[in-house]
Amino acid sequence: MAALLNLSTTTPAAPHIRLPASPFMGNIKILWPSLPSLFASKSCLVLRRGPQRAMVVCSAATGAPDPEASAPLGRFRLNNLGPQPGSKRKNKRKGRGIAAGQGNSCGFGMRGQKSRSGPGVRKGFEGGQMPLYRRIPKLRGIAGGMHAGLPKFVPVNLKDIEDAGFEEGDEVSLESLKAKGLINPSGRERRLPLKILGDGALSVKVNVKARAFSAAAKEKLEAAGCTLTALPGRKKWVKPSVAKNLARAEEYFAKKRAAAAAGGGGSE
Amino acid sequence: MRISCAATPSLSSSVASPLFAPNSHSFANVSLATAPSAVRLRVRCDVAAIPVLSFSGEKVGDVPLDLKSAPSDTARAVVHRGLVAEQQNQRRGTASTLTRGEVSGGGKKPYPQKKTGRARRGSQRTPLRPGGGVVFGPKPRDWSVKINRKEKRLALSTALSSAAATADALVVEDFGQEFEAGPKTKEFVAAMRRWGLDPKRKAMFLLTEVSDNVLLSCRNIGTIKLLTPRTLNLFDILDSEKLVFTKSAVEYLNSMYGENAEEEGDGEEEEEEIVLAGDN
Repeated sequence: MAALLNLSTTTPAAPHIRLPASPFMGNIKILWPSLPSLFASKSCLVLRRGPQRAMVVCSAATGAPDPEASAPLGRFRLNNLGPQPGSKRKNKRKGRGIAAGQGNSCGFGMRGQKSRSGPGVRKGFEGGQMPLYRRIPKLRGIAGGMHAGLPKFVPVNLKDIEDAGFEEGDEVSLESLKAKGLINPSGRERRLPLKILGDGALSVKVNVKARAFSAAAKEKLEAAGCTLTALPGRKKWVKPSVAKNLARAEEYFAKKRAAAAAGGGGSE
Repeated sequence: MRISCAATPSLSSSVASPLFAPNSHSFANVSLATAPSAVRLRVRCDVAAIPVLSFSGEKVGDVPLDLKSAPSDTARAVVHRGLVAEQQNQRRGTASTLTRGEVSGGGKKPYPQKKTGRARRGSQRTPLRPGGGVVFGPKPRDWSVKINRKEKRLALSTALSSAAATADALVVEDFGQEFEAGPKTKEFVAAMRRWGLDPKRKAMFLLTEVSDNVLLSCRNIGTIKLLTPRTLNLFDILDSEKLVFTKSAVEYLNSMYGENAEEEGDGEEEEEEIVLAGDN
């Protein structure tokens, strides 16, 4: 048993070329022509057990044989290469005689649509019965177009901010929370603004910048003495002509308000 | 059995009986104390001293060739994979035959199905007839396979180091100036004889610089492959009986395929591969 335990992954014959297992594709004998003499001198017994491994049991009573002195060196040439044992599998040879195993009907069974050439019935086909993929509604909600249920914010609770280890005076924003790894928005979420929710409590004074705060969160944050900044929402895109008109109207009304204020101030 | 092999070093030394001691590699890099699993992951680095010969054939010294080499239980497969990938990627895949539908003609039914007393026939171009289509013939196809760049390089360096370890490699001093006077194949053959090479057997020369006269001198020797780092390839290494390097070529190999050539060679190698593909 000790000898078996002692087997290294290499054979004693050549440092480069391992004695191969069954799918061997080269003539390895040419690599060490003095192999028999080597074994004869050490009175070795070569066993081949199973297809996978060659076992070499030596009964020489000396210590480690000096491989540099005794082992002939093998060199890789075109004729002694081969794939790693077990890495290749032979193809099934269909229709090569009944005795070959896959001969008669080549794995296609007996008669009927599936025994013919071609792909058979299509995927999901249930013999003409309304198949599962058509029995079930394709889309959820009002034909899948219901935006009402989708989240509009990336929510973060106070307790999570508390646990994230923000220092006094730090800024809590979408960017800093991302940097801390507290949130990792992906997909659609990446375009959503931040909302602070009120679970838990916050003890450090931080500057919070978010699009929205829940009522509870706002109360708690103000109680903790944090500064809150409500970021402006995204402006709705309008046509350039409309934008121009809006700007003009804004300007006009601003002027009018100013005039009214001045006039009101003058009259008083 | 493998698993029990991968015991701790102390255990394996304790069971090291006089019956059989595991073969230590001929190069001292992998110590026996490491567990076999660790050995398998490691890439060995073989140091082989290659004799340096002068142009006149005298030995003038030794040069170490210190290349990465795959672990002995996978080396054969690595080289094989490298070779297969190289050979397969050289295929152009342009072989093309016509099937019965593509051969011109054959659209008309030669004669009616019935009442002629002859066998029924639908086309003049069936595969059974001369001039008919080819059944399952080759069609243009992409044969290329992917191999990891490091694996490819490892295959090459393993093949090289195995050649160096079996004394199939030799280094010659740069002989470009010997052919200054003009190209002379006879002189080149004589030089090969002096270096102990048989001009009838295949040999590979790896030079970093090839002068025109050297190229012309050995161009007509069919057994010789004159390679530069750019055209160095696994097939020629495996095909050649003897590998001949110049000193600068050995330096190149050591820097490119040696133990600590990991980072420095990467960019260069990519460039080289593209050119190689173009060459072939």
